[in-house]
Amino acid sequence: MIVAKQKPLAEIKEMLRPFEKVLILGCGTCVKTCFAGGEDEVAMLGAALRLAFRQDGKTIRTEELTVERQCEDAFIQESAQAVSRNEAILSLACGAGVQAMARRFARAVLLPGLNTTFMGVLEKPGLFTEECAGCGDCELDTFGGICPVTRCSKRLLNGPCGGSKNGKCEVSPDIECAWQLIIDRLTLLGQSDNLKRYIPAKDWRPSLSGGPRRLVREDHVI
Amino acid sequence: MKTDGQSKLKRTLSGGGFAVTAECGPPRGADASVIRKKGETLKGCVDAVNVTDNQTAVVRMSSLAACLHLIDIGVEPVMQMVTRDRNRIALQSDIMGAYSLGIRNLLCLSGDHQSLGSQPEAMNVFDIDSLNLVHAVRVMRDEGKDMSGFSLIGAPEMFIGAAENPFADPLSYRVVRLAKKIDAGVDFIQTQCVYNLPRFKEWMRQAREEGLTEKVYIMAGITPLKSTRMAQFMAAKVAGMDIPQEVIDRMSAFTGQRAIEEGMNIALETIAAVKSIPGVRGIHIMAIEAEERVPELVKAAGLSQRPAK
Amino acid sequence: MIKDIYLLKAFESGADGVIVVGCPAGKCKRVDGDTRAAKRVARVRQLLDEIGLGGKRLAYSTADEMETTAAELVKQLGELPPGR
Repeated sequence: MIVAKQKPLAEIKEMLRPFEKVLILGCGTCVKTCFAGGEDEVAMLGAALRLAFRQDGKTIRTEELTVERQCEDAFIQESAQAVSRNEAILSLACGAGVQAMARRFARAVLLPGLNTTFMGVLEKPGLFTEECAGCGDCELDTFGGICPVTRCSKRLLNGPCGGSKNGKCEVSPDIECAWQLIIDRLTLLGQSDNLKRYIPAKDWRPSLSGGPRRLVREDHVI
Repeated sequence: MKTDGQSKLKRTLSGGGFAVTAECGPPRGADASVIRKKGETLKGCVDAVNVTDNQTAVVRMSSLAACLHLIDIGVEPVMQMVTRDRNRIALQSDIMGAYSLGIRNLLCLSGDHQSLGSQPEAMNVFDIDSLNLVHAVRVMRDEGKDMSGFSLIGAPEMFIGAAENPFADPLSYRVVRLAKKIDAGVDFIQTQCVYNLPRFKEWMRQAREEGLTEKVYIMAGITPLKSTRMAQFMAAKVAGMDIPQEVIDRMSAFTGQRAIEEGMNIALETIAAVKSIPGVRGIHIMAIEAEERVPELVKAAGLSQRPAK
Repeated sequence: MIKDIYLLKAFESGADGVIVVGCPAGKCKRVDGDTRAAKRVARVRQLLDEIGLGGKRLAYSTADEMETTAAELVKQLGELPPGR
C-alpha cells in the first residue's frame, strides 16, 4: 500500500487560514489502512481544526466526506457537489489522489493534508515499512525476495558495505541491513550462489529517473 | 604535469616489494597549503598516499584536485572515489580527467551515507555501486571502452583498488565478497585497520585457500592508537571496527605521551605480525589527523627507503 | 466502543475536561484493551496540545483509581481557562 502521514496540525491550519468553508475529503483505501486519511481520521481532523480555530476566535465551517479511492474518477465524481459547495478542499489522499482531484476539478483549490512517503507493508501492528521503490525492473528473484534497491540505504547490488554492524545499517539502528537479510535468506533457500554472481550496473530508465512514467494498455483504450 | 609513467605503487607490488601507503584528507575549504603540507610530511616515506573523497560524507576539497596538489610536490596519490555523490557519467568523466592529469591509482568505494555527514539534506546518487565502478574502470583500461561501449580516445590505465573489511559482519561472506571484487577487476585491496590479529589471520587463510592472494595484492590497514579514549570510541562507534579488549587494556595503562608511545608499539607489533602472514603484500597506514607520526612509524618498522626502487 | 472522535466532540460541545475510564490493570476482558485505551488517550492528549486547548484536560484512569484521577483533573482545570 501507499503509506502516508498526516501533516502537523499547525501546518494544515496555516494552509486553511484564508478559507471559511472547507471540504475535508478522505480516502478509504491505502491511507485508511495507515491511519492517515480514512473516515475516522477525517472526523478527527475536522474536530481538531474546528477546535484549533476556535482558540483563535475564528469559526471554520468544515464538511466531511470520504470516498473509496481518490485516485479513481468514478469515485471522486461522487464528491462533485461537495466540492462546489466549499472554498477549498483539504484532501487526505496520497499525492496521486490529490492530483487526480486537481485534474478533475480544475477550478478547485486543492490542499494536501498528508505527506506521502512510500510503498510498503504493515510489518507488525503499528509499524509500516518501505518495501518497494518502484524501480520498474524487478530483480527480487535474485535477492531472495528482499529488495536491495529499496531496503539497502545505498542501493548496493553486489553485497553489503563496510558499515553493516550486527545486522543493522550504518544510517540507523532502526534499519536492518538489507544485505544481512538477503544473505540469510538466500542461505536458507540454498541459493547462496547468487551472492557470487556479479550484478551489473542498473538501468534506471524504467524508474522515476527516466522521467514520470506512463502505462498504456492498448487493449483497454477506446 | 607528467602524464607518462606507470603507477609506482603498482611497480613496487608487481616487483615483489612490500608496499607502504598512507592516507590524508583534503581540507574543508579551498586552502591548498593544508594538503600540500600533509604531502610534504609523507613524502619519501611511503609509496603512495590515498586522498579521501568527501570522507564521512563531510564536504571537502575534491579528491581529484587534492591529488593534483600532491603530484605537484612529487607525491604519488591514490585517488579515492565514492559512488555516493556522482553518477556513472560523472565518475567516468572524472576518471578520464584524472588520468590525463597524471593520477594513476584509483580506490573504488561506496562511501559513507550522507545522513551521517555535514549536509544530510543532500540527495544521494548511488547510481552504481563500488563493484560496478571497479568493473567499469577495468573495461576502460583493458578494452578502452566506456560503459556504453564507446571506444575511448585515450584509455585511462588505472591501477585499481578497493577496500575490504575482514572484521565486518557477516564474516562468512567477507571472502566471497573479496573474490567478487577480484573478478570485477580489483588489483589491490586495502583493509580496515587491524587490531584483531587472529581474525585477520583467519580471513587471510580463507583468502589463500580460495587462491585469492595469487590474484590481488592485499595491504593490511594500520592505525596507531593515541589514547584509551580513542580506542574505546573506535570500538564502540565506528562500524566494522574490531578492537579486542586486551588492546584497550594495554592502552588504558597509560596516559598522555606514554599512551601515544604504547599505541605506536602496538602498531609496530601489528606491522611485524602482518608482514609475516603469507599473502600480505603491504600496509596502508591510516593515521587520522596524525600524518606527522607516519614517517617515524615507517622508519621504526624498518620499512624506509620509499618509494622502493 | 469509545472512538477517539467522541473525546474531541466532548470538547466541541463545551466540556472543560474529560476522563476516560478503563478496566483495572490486567482485568480487561479483551486482554489488552486497557493498554490500547491508554495509548490512544495519550495520542489525543498530544493532539489537544497541538490544538491549543491543552492535553491536561484529558485524563485516563482505571476504574479503581477514578476518584483520585477525577480529583486531580478538577484541580488542574481550576488552573486553566474554560474549555469553550
